[in-house]
Amino acid sequence: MRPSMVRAIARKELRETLRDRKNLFLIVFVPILLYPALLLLVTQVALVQSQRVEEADSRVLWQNAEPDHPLLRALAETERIRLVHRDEVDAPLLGRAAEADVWIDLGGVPADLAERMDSALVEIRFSSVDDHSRRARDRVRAAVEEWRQEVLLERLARAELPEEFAAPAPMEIHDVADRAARGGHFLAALLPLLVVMTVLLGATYPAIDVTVGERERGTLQTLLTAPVRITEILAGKYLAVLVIALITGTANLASLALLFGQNLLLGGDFLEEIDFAIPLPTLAVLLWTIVLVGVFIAAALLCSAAFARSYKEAQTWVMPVFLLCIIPGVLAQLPGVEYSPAMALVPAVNVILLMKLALAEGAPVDALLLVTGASFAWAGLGLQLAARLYSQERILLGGQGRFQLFTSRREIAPTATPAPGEALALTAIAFVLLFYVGGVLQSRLGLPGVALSLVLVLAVPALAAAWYLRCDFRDTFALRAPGWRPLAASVLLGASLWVLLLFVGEHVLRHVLEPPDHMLEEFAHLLRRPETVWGVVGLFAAVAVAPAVTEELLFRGFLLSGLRDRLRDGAAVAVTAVVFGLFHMSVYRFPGTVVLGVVLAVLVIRGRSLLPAMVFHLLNNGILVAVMLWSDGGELEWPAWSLAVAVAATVAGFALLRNEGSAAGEGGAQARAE
Amino acid sequence: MTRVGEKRQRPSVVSRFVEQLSRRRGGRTERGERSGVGERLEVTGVPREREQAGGSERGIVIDGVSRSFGEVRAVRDVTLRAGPGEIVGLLGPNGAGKTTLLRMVATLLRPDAGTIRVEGRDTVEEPLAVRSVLGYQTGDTGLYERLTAREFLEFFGALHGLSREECAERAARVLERLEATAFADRLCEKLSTGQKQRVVLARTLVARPPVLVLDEPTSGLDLRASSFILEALREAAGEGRAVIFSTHQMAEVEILCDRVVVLHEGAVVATGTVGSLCEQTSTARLAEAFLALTGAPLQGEDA
Repeated sequence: MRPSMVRAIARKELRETLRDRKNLFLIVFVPILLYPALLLLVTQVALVQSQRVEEADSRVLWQNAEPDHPLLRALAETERIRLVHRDEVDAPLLGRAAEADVWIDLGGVPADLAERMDSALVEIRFSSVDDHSRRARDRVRAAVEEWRQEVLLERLARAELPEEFAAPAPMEIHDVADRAARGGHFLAALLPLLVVMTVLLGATYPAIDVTVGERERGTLQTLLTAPVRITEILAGKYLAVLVIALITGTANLASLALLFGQNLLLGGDFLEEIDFAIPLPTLAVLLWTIVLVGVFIAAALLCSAAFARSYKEAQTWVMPVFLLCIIPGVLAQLPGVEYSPAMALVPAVNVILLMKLALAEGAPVDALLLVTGASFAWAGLGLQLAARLYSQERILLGGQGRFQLFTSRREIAPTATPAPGEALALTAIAFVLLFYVGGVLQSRLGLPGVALSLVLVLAVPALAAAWYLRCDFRDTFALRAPGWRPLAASVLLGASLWVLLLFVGEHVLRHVLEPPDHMLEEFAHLLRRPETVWGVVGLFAAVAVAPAVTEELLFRGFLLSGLRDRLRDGAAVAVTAVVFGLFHMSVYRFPGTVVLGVVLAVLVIRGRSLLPAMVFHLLNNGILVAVMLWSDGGELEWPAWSLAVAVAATVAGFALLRNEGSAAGEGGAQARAE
Repeated sequence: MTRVGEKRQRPSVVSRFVEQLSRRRGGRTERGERSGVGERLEVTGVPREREQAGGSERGIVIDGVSRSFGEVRAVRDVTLRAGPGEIVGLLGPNGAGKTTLLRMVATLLRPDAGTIRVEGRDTVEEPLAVRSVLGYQTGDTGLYERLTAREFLEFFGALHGLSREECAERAARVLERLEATAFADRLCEKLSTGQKQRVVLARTLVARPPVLVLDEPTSGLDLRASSFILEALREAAGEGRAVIFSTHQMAEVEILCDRVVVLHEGAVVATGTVGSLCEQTSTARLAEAFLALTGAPLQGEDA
């Protein structure tokens, strides 16, 4: 990559972007004026509203007492409380629109309470959904509390006891956090998400404009005939988007800082409690985190915009980036979610947590370095992906190719396999279905529900989509007779790999990712030993046979063949494996299922048939269930020889596949030649 | 001395157009004489060893190139060449494969079969090297609307690795030569179609490449504007550039081209001088020859 080219492109992009009024509006006007103005408006409206509530009298409806009841007198003397009397009310309406804000029943409170030794219940009703009613409750509560104190003092006096008698251990609570620390804490709750949002908003439009926009204006083709590499073009565009995002982010923060500094937002005596002066080192860290947020977001946006064929489509494609950044952002805001070295590796989340840490107690250098490294690494990966997506021809010919899930079937021409976009979309649909339909079926029907949901959610959509898209079933689902080698390999691997996975899981992964007890219990509950023979058959059908058939049809059939239409085999295997892992919706099962996903996909590709994968899957799940039933939930003992046998069988299985691979390669080449 | 800049003051562009046409028919030598342009934009960027390697490596050499999009065979087994100083016109009805062929020359598309060499470099193996010796103009103008003409040219100069001063100097010279100085500092979106086309041509010339590939450079232009562009192309060829361009205007081809290549349904159906095409088809005019050549569906191997 030549820096001069990157610079030239970045300069051109910035010049173009900044000359567009619409951009200037989005980059400068919106963050500096509009957001703060909106925030100001909202807080002012809230302030006015609470002021109104504060200034209004609270109407207290009382019942079941004489008008000279001492508590009533106390209430009447309280400011901003107006008493309303009604004799026969059972369940009065309360709130601004009703005749009273709060209702107090004095029926159980004798007027001479101070002279007695017992206690009496003061019943207060209010409506939590009405501002005035809540405020009235607070006022009445305070007044009643004060009166109770008076009654108590009077009783103590009668009993000739000192006041201290009723207050054996008074407390004094001091906040050691000074104003600055409180300011930091307050900002830590507010600022990180705000930074992410503003950088996102600042970067989105330029990111779309320099990619899809340039293509739509017809200039990208010209650019591609200049002697520059795609990576240089992308890097230049990336740089421009980053610069704009940073301008927006900093501008927005600066104008917000002004608002806070002038105490325009919160009003009242807020600033006496809190000091927003951020120490210089923290400020430096904050500015740097804006850069980190920008570095990641700009790459993610460029990547997602690469999928789009038009401006309109691009606006859809950037949504995942929004979710990717905002959801973790919100999660990271939750109390208890703290920075940790593991969290430092998660994109978007890491920067937010770092910001939180910096504002609360100052960020240590190692955290700063780790998050910086991780953010740049993620951005680099994103750009790599984008560079692949921006192949010359794809840009020129427009978009990612075929996507016909929403096209009328009559207009679809027969094809061998689905396109990658179609395969991924269908898998996403299946995922959503699994979440809702699967969840309902499993909780209602138990094990039969598991099997039924697998069929309905995985197999039926895959088969239906293949029919709808006029795909060749033989190609899409690899419906071919396998050779003996892949079959033998699937049996060997199916019988042995689980041992290794369990072993690694128990001895290595457990230290990194300890599954919570309730999860293990749920699992054990699902796999509890059935009482009848039919129960055992049902268990195997639901946990071994159904997944082996349905999951293979969707993942190693529809998805894998669709991905291989465009991706190289290695990439297709990796993507299906990760998707397969994600489908199991559990962090703890993710590593194991990804490994299984890889092996299953390799079996299909090398064996050129879905059957070996089904056999492997059936054996793997079936044996695991059998072992669980056998051990009855207890710990498994592993004799050393069993491990050795398993390793040998696994190696042998892969060796068989290796040989098959070259044979299949020749066969494939031959088939293509024909 | 004929300068492009002086033509605007002449009374009748059309009569000059016709005059050129007859002059052109007269013979080739004249072009060589009238290439003494005041501001010569000599060809640069050709490495010495290539120049010495021999004439056959220079210019554009297309050899047996095919390209399909799915089921559609856009270009079939096309072979042609354009040497230094030569202007080759690409004729063909809409959808004949002209744009696809030119895009392959410009490294934007890869051929499925065959090879293309530009100044001795293979378009697939050395796309960057090819792009550095090639000025390519796309069918649509491809101007950055929010840059001025000058900025646009300087930007592309920079992409060709020129220093800032070189960019400014070359942009100024090419703008002057194409009489575009007057609107050089206006945003491209404010320019007229003719002005835009001149800026686009200026862009292909700014790096002084030895090869020009132009996809319908005169489409949508009036007679005055298109004759200006054609004259500029002739000058470019006079300076030793290989020029290949596609068009639907028979008159342009008759005036300008040393050789004509007629594409039909992706394949070359005829190639030669205007005269030889007419001879082949026993017609009197190029337009008639063109209609005769592209009238019938192609009897290809898959037809």
